[in-house]
Amino acid sequence: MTETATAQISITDEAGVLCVRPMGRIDAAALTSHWDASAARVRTSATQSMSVDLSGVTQLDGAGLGLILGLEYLATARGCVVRRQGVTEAHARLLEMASRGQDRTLRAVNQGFLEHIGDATMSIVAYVKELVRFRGELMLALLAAIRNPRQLRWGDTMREMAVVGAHAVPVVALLGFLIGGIIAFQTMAPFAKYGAQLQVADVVGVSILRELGPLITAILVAGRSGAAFAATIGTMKVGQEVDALRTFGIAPMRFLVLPRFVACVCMTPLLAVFADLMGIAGGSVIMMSEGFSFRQYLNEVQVAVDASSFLQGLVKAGVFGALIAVIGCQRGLATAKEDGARAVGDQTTKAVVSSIVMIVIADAIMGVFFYTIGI
Amino acid sequence: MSTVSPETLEPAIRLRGVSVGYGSHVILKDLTLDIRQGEIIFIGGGSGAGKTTLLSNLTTLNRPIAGEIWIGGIDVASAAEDALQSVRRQFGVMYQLGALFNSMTVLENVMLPMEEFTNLPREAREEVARAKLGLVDLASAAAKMPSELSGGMQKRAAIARALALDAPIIFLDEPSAGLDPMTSADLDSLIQTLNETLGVTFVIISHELASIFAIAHRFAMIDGKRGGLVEVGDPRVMRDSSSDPLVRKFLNRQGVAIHSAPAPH
Ligand SMILES: Nc1ncnc2c1ncn2[C@@H]1O[C@H](COP(=O)(O)OP(=O)(O)OP(=O)(O)O)[C@@H](O)[C@H]1O
Ligand SMILES: [Mg+2]
Repeated sequence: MTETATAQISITDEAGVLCVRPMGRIDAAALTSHWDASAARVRTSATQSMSVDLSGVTQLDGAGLGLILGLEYLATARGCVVRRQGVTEAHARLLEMASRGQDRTLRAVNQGFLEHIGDATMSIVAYVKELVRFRGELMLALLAAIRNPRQLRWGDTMREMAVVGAHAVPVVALLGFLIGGIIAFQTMAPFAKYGAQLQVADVVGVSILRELGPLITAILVAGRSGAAFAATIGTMKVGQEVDALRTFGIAPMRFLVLPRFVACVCMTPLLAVFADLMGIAGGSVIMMSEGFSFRQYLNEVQVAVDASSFLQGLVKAGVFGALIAVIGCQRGLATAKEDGARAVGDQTTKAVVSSIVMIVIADAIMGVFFYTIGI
Repeated sequence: MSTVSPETLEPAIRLRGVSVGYGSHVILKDLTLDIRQGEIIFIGGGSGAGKTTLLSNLTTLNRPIAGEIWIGGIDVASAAEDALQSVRRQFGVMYQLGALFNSMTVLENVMLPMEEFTNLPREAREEVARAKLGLVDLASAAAKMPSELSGGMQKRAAIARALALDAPIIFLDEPSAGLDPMTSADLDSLIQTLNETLGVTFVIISHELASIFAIAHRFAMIDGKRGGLVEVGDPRVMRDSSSDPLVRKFLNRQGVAIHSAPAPH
């Protein structure tokens, strides 16, 4: 470290020529202590020519190259003529290599980047259009698979089913149970005012089977699997795996999307059944604590809800599952290779948010639809 | 360096009975080797022989299964994590896959190590990074994102990043894979210049015979089948008179040597 301490940069004005004389070992340490002063001096000097004398330099490393080239650039930028002298052959070679192709107008932070994000962010209309197109393409792949079941990759589909469905059972069950209990608990007090405690069972049955069972299931699946679809496919896109598939003549739609779609459409209703059962069970705990028997509670639920309520819930869950798969996979495939890892994160977040928004919108539309056709 | 202190005679890296591998699976065993200060040493061996694995141990990403690796007076095989941090300042690495940060421009990629490890003012960092990109002839791509570069350009950007801190030891994993012969020769001359003018030690994994014969001071051959170091020495001598058939075969491959004519287009 003793050599670095001796590094000096003298800058003097000699008869209208700004003389820059770095001396000693010119490295990062020298740069750290001398850059600001030297740069300011070169910038503010009014001389028309600058001479860089390297004869006192004992060692010049990469940081030193930056120092010399940087000061020279600052001088030329204000119209100053720069000459070098006392350069050893090795230093000359390094300086020549390092100055190749320099262009200070190229900024460190790509200024086009924000616009880039702007371009990449699709408007809602464009997004919905894209979703419709994507669904169309997916439906074609699905029809092809129905005509020729070998088109579907069964192994992948089974694996996805396990991940989307079986692995989600504990959390769906827990949530269903708690929501059922909460609804019963919260409606108990107002109903008790009218002496209608038993009718709490009706509320639990209808709201869980028709709405909340499918809805909480779908939100969970969106958060678990929709996000996973977007992240997995997005990472594959960034790593050019999707490009590789295409060049093998394998359609990503069939290879990546279809198994996930089938798994999601099949498993979401099954999970919803679980949520339904656990929700009813959750309600029963509150009812029993109010002194009703389990039989009484169950009879009341059976009166309130019919098969159509239950089926309605399952249809909804199937639609939600389809939405989650389509949105998650579409977001994954829409990941821009150029934006790398950050894009994967962005698309995953967007996949979850758009899925949940779409689920709730679809729920509202289906609710109105079922009501109008009188189910 | 006007005075030669005893430390400068110390090897840059000293391997003693080193075994590397994954888990308990040993890939290379009992490596003993001194990498001298200021030398350019090439490491060669078949695909899958364990070169990258060895590199990950030398660069403190993994710990060897057995043995000692001394870098700058610290045994990185047994040192505590915070001691390793100071060792890491002493080398720059370019990994086989480049591993540029995709969310930053090329220039930012090269500036990042300086941002983390130096007190340089921003403007100075930028100038240094530009100079480093110039050294690999990539200054004109400063504002590009890594994904907008060709494979060979990414490689060169990664080399520029490895040089960012002017570390005394530079590890390069297959630096010329994916480069055309001219760019590759250019890179050789850069390595040689940095080595001669600054005494930078280079540890380079490569099968590029042209580079080996042009700039290597020594060549170390490892063999996956035998699971160890076969021979170390002057590559020309090894080519002509190694007692090991594999070494002779490796260094005499299809006369690719330095004088071979460029492939027709
Ligand atoms: N993360 C890992 N876990 C387990 N084994 C690994 C891992 N990475 C590599 N290997 C194995 O270690 C061996 C050596 O691999 P390594 O990447 O070091 O080879 P290499 O000499 O660098 O080859 P190449 O020239 O192809 O890059 C190989 O058999 C490989 O299968
Ligand atoms: Mg390797």
